Amino acid sequence: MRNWAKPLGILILILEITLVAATGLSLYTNLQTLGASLISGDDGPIHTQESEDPITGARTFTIGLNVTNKGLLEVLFKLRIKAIAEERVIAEGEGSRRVPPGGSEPLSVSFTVSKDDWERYVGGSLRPDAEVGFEIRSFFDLIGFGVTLRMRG
Amino acid sequence: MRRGIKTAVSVIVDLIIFILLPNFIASHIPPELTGMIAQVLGLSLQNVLLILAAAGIVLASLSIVKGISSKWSTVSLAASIIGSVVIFVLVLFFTGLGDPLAFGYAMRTVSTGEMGSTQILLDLRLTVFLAAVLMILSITRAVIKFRYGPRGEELKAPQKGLNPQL
Repeated sequence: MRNWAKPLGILILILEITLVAATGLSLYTNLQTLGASLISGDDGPIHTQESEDPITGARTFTIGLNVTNKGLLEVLFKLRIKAIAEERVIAEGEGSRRVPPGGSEPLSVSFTVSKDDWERYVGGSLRPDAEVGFEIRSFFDLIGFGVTLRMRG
Repeated sequence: MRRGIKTAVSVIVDLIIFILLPNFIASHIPPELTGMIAQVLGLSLQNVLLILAAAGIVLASLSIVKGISSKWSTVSLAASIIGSVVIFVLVLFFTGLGDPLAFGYAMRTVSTGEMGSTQILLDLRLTVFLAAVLMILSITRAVIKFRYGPRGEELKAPQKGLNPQL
């Protein structure tokens, strides 16, 4: 039992280095990816597209962005969009991309609003709330952070 | 003499990490960001600095206690254990964005007035898990050293020093 003190000391040192390296590299990678993906771009980082189904009248919105990983670890980027009216989710879409360090991948998320909801909420007076959320994870998806913005209609 | 130097270095490092460095960084943070930190943490930057300073003083005091007490004494063991716990609580506090009970998974909603709201999520459970393992290992190591350490060494050492004079 007495001889365990030294190996334990070495193990503690290894774990301390792992803790600092994992947390530091992950936060660095996540922040770099956030900056490169959401703040950069010549014509803005986010592109939107709208289309209408001629038969059902439903409207589909597509939001796309390039997930650029300028960090040192692989990242998982998740994007989630919701339209909420009267505490009810009328449309939602979710997508994710895994990007290696130094890489860039396009990510697009689509959501469809039915004709009834469109006429009732968007075309009417009850404007829906919009919720846009993203989450960035790295170090085997174990360390991450996310931001969700809820904008009143 | 060697223990004295080790204690002094430990105290100085504690004071630099927990008092000088945070104050230096805080003085370079723009005021707009200071307000945001306060909203997210639910604590003003001044209070965050005070918590860090208090932790620094506690850790420095524990280093002094360890330095002046016998290496294999109960006091030294207690100081080691308290030091490990203080560091773990600090990790819990900061990874939980001011809430130690969040255990590294913190969620904060910041109101942006009429515009809506912003929800911030921080998942540092791995960091908390590793910090918990480190705390347990550090305490185990301190207990092993206390339980199986050569307690007679402390008494024999001064005699060795006196021998040449005799």
